Amino acid sequence: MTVSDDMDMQVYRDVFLSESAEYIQAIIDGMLVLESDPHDLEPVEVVFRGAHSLKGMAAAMGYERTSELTHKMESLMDTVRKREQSVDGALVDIVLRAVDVAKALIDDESNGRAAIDTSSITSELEVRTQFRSSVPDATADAAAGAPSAPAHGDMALEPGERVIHASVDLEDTCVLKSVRAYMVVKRLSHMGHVVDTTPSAREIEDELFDHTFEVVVRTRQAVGDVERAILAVTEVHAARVDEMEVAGGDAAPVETSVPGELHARARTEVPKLSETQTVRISIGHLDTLVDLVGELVILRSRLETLAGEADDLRFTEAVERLHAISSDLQHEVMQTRMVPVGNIFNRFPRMVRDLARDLGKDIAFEMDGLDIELDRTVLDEIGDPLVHLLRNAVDHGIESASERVAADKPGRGCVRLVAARERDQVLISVSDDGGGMDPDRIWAKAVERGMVDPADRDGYSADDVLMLTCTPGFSTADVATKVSGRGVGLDVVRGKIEYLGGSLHIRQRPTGGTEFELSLPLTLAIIQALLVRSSGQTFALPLGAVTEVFAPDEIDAGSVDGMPVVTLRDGRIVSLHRLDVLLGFSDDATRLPGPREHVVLVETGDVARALSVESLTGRQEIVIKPLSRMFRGVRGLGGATVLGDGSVALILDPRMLFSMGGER
Amino acid sequence: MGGKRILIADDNKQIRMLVSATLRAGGYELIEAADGAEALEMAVSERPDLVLLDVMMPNLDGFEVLHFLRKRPECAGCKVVMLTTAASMADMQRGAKEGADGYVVKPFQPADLKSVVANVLAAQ
Repeated sequence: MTVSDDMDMQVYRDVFLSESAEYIQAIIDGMLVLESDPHDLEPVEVVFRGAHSLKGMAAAMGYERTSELTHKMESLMDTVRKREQSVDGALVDIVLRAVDVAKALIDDESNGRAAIDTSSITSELEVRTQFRSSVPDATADAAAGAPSAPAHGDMALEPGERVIHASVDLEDTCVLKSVRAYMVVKRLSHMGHVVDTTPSAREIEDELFDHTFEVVVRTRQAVGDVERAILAVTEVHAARVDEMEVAGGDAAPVETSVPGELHARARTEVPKLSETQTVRISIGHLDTLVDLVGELVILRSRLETLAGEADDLRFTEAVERLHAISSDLQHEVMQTRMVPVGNIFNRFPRMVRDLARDLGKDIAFEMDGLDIELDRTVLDEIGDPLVHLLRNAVDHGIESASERVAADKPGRGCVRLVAARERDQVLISVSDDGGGMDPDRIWAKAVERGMVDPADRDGYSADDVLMLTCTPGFSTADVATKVSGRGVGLDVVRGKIEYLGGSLHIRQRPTGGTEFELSLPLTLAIIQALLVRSSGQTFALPLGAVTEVFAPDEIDAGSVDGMPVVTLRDGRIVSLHRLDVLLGFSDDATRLPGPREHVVLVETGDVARALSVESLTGRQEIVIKPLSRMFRGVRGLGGATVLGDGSVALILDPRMLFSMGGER
Repeated sequence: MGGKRILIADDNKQIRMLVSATLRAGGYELIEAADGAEALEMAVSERPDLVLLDVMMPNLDGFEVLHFLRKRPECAGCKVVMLTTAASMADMQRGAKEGADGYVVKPFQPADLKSVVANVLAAQ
């Protein structure tokens, strides 16, 4: 093999790996939809096609075992597609496990290994594919003209539903028999669920029947309406329509007739991501592009400074034009880094389902806001924290079904994962309708651990107490269960979120249950900043945290208990901090702002503080450059940037800044 | 390339008239169907050389018509061009899977329609 062949192969492999990941996800999503609604025919088709495509791609790559496994999955789904058997928990389970194996297998084969053993899952798939022949053949019953409820696991009728059997006769002269029959089935499927056809849907399509066929439909419509709908199709000669008897005993959910039935089910809604036209780009290219744009923004600032000094109108105009274009370019480039949160959310329905099952809980998992976009770097980092919060919600948040019933709640718990955009932040909330956290128990634990002074209880709101669970070393779970409580606590979650420039809030929901809300910045690389001077140096303060700026003559400063405070326009009084003191350049913390000094109101989390600085030097977009290792330990600094005049400014981290001076 | 027979299936009468007028001017023979089922009947009975199929139609949609058309031996040589609305990649992918020969995206210019039809008919 030549070098270029090798490279081609590498390219094909990359394409295969990324595409196969999409098909695998589509299969998982489809199976979860099927689990919540076994009658939905669309996901059956999606899963079938997904397995089919994987098979073809794997075969093309020479991954024989993957190809064989996905072929088995395809065969199984084909029986469902042809209505030879119906979907139940056990089937969903087998397919999901097969997908897991397929995923591992692809990794295995694409790395030239042969470590994965597929024999047990393939035989399971084979057994289940054969399963149809061991159930009484419902279609044979119907064909024999003895209408009776078929032994489908999905025949549990909802109130007001009936099962209607229709025997349809097409005209002898009918040329398009398959089309007419298809139109009848299609009409009936709009009136309810088509449970069965004789011959099978595939055979009808292929016109493998004389001019009579039969349809069994589950519907709320009256027999007469069904009959009229059938007769409205052209070339239908006659139709015999009657309601099928569903005997008392048989009417109960027949699901127990299927082996390995699920007891705990997580009903899942998987909204689809909107389809968009896309191109795949390697992350490396994107990162380089962002770096280059960052350099361009720095150079632009430098040119703007020079243009200001040169006092040449043409030069200034050209620089302004450059500004406009580079701003657009920057916006577009940043946009390429934005990824819908759905990309990481989509693995959660499966996870929640498996967890709920392991714990024997009945949980509905809902997601919303999947198309909300976040910077890729931020998104990559929040996966683990979200997994932790979801595990918590399922394990500790939702009570057992019996506790729920005792508390007069619906037996099925609900966990919600919702993303929303709010100005330059993305809010992601994980909430449950469980018993909620017990502030008294948390407080007692915090006291026991010496984290708080028992006398301070009144100073803490209920939500403040909940936040104590995010303190390092705090854990309320008395027993570490299999699911969570593996030593990684909420403090790690909070740490990660804050590292990303976001914040974590815990709230009691008024309706019961707990809500964890993550506020995250949209992007990390380039931000708007206010440039301030203190002790002869320029610092950049992220504009997202600045809520107000006061000129020297607008400052209403005073002292409370000897500590400086500022009265805001709305009458609020906030503590005043001197930047030079916070940074350690001065130690006169009690001095009030001088006649030339400015005050900036900085809000982080829910706390507003005033910061006094020597002067304000402007507002500009800055490119965040990480600090060298030497500065890593310095709290209050978020990075460095290069300014228009070529000098370097340190970026202040508003969240950490105020904890530096050692004052409250 | 005159004398070829083209079936236009669209539930919108104006579109049928526009397509018919445009293509008749190009020397083709035009027949019309107002819904999917009618389109299929005419495709089987009239044996057009090419069928222009709107995607959204009552009774049977364009893809269903295409699907059944491909199963009919009497329509073996029939070319199919789908009329899709702009920006529906999903339509195009589905069409490709079901074996459409070409697409015209609505709204379309008469010249574009003519060239797509001519190209599809010329292709073997």
